Amino acid sequence: MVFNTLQYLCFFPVVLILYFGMPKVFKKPWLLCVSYYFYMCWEPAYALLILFSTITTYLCSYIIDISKTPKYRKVSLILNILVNLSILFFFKYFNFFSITAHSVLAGMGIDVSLITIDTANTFILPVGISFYTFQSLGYSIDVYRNTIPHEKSFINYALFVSFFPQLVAGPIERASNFLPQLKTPTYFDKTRVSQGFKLMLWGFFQKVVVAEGAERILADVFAHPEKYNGHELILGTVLFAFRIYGDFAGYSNIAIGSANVLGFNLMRNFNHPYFATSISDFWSRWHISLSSWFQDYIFLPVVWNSKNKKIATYFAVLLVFLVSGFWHGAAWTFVVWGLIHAMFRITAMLTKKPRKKLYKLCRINIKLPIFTIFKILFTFSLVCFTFIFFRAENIEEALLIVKTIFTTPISRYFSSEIWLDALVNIKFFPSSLETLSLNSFYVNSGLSLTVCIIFMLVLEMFETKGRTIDKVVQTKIFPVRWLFCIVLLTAILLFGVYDASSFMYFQF
Amino acid sequence: MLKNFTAVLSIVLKGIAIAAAFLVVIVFVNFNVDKYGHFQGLAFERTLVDELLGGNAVEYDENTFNERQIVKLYIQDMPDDLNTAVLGSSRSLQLTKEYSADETSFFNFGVSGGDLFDILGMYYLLFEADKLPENLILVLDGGMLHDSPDLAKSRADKELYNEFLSVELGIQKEYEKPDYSTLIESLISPSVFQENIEYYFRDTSLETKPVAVPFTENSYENERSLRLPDGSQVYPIDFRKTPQDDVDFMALEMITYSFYLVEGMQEIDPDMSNIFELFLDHAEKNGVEITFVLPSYHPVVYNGALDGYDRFPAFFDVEPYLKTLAKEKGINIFGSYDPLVTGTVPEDFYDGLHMKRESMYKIFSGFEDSWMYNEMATKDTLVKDRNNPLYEPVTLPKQLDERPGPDMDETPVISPPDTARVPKI
Repeated sequence: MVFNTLQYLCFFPVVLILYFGMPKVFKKPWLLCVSYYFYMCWEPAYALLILFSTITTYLCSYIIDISKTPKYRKVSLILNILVNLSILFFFKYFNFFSITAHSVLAGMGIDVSLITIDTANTFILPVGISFYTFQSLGYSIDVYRNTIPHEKSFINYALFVSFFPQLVAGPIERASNFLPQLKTPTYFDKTRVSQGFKLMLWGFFQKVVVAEGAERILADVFAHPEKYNGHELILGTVLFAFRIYGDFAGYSNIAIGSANVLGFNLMRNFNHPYFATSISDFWSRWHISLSSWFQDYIFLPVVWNSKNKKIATYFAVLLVFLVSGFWHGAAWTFVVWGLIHAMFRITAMLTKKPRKKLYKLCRINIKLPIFTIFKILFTFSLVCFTFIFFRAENIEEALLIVKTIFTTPISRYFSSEIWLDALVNIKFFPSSLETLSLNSFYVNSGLSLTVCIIFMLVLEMFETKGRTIDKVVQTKIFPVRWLFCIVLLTAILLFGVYDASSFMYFQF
Repeated sequence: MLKNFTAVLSIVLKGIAIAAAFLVVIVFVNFNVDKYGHFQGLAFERTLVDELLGGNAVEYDENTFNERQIVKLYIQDMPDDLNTAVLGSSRSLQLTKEYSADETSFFNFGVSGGDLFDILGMYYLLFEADKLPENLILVLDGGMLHDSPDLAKSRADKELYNEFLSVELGIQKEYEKPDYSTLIESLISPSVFQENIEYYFRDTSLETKPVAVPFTENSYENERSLRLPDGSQVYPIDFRKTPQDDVDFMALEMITYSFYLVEGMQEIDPDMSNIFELFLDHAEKNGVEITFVLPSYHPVVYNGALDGYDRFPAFFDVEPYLKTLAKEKGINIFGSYDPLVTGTVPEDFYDGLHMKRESMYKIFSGFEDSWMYNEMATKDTLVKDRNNPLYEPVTLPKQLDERPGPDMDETPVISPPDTARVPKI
């Protein structure tokens, strides 16, 4: 079941009404049942996979908890990690590594038969497998580290893994945040419910209007990059940045909003990442639940357990982004995407001191707003560059796009005429500029999309001190709150794309 | 718990109320703007029908609209008490209200490329809408009862006539009832809503539209096709003024290459004739008085058909069959495919198939002679014995016979049929 469907819009109110209407003892089993139903709407058989992962992790964590010898604790942890990663590997990475190994061996002149599994029909990649696998691993590691106690209630633990709002595309919730909430009774809180609905509405706007509106324009640019020039490819890439942000942030907001309505707080996943002033800053704002997971379970252990902290830090950064690339998908494009981010990050770390000296030498006041704006734009450009690899079908296409962009004479990038032509060519404008009319604002998704993106970015600027948009709006007077809802609903109705694809992050 | 329940219920109900308000807007726009014509018909056809019902003639370019859609919309919106309706192909489109006993309540539902299944479908639409006329003029073509390969190109609504055959005539055919889920989706879909908004505000300056023109004598000067309020069609003046040599050549071409729906007709298809007869019985049972009209073919076409007899021998069975059937069922019949019988000459045609508006009276004149002749007619006499005295063209009533023939130079425009001289159906 996907959030942006009528099915979910019917499912959620029913779940909600019955959840608040039933005795406390039935609430958690009810949420567990509807969570499994939610997942089974996609592929019923794969609910067994979650159940298996849940039981394995629960039992292994139980053994970790009761074992008095470190050896058993360690074995149990490793067993759990192996089981979970094996499932993930089988469904997500087997073909990738098999094909790669086959190519390498063939290159060495060793002839071995290629073994692959049928991921198109028989073993379709289970939706959200990376999310619930990482969530389960995080839990067992936390129990192993004694950061949290083992959860005695199987229902609580199963609900933590399969809680439907975050089941298929995160946020990758931490047991330390979620499990305690299951132990305290949830009461109906009108303000929180209202905020939750507003956040859901905001998420729908991001997904249906921004993400899908952008996809409608950029799809052909990435499907046939050879047809487009540098200007058009740049525009397509920038649109993709908003497409992926709208898609994933939209999903996260609907998930967090849905959980809020039900009385649960999920961790924040995005914090206006395109206002980041550096790549490091970007990763503290983008997919926060995954970034922090990598930090806690990969980066810090690597650094802690090494003698040379400086070298270890670089190595840990490289490792984190390599794993992050693989986490996003079994394809070289994702690996390269991760490695470019690692390169940016390491370069920034290596040049931190020289840059400071340079600013001092050139008497650049880094506190000036113009400098901050420059840093934001520069960071955004770097992020967009990496998105070329993230979105491209394969490395060849990504390199073709990069080559086309960078071999276009710089002087051409200063021609407004070419930019306008590019906007027409990628169908940002519906027709030639001469025939552009007021109606084009509606007909063409480009102009209306731009207004909606600006609206989104401006509204996000009001998100201060960690308060999300729903909380900001909730503090305003009644007409403002209603206006917020009406404007979003109208925008969704007028500019939303309804025959759209699923959420991008489902595939991860 | 109950307090929680009612509180959350009130919030959900509030959400439903907001959603319902938006839904009302969506439904209102989707129903009224209706880009795809699910509820109001397509814009062009809708405008055309509205104008016709308003008593205006409408000018348009050929092939810019769906004639069958016009029929549907007209039947949907027309008054209940229609006296006379014409069903048939484009060969029927020159039949005007003047041929009806009640000129105020007449409509010609003829459609281009119309075949038996079109007739059945249109009749079923009238029947379903409970708007069957008192008199139904069936303009029947020679290939109507031929299971022709040309029927693969038929534009008739298959679901509609198959439903009629299955439900009313008891001949089981596969058909699908209109998909109401599609209609509901079109009504509530936000995507359709967006398309309708876009459609409503679109730039219509370059679109071809039907243009309502006041119906006067000058209407016959039209440079574009004209549909009159009685449903009949007036071709553009350029087409009507086609030089006679070109008309004859068109007729020759038509019979030389392929005679639409007739080509290859070895027999009257028993299934189709059975369907046709059941349909007549159905109409009779429902109190409809049927009249058959057989417009003549251009002499070049008919003579060519005689010369190429082996290509479609059963073509010459159709007229005797229809006349026998008419006699059996007490149905009035006018005209003949044979131009000699109706006294039509090449100058009476726009092309090989379509008789001129001003010549249509000929198929009604001297019908008693024609009737008498047909009682005696056999296939042999029709085909082989062109010298048979009975083959002489019927003598037209004197006043009609004296009517000057069309002279393209002197009479560049046509006028409506002389109502005083035309027998009323």
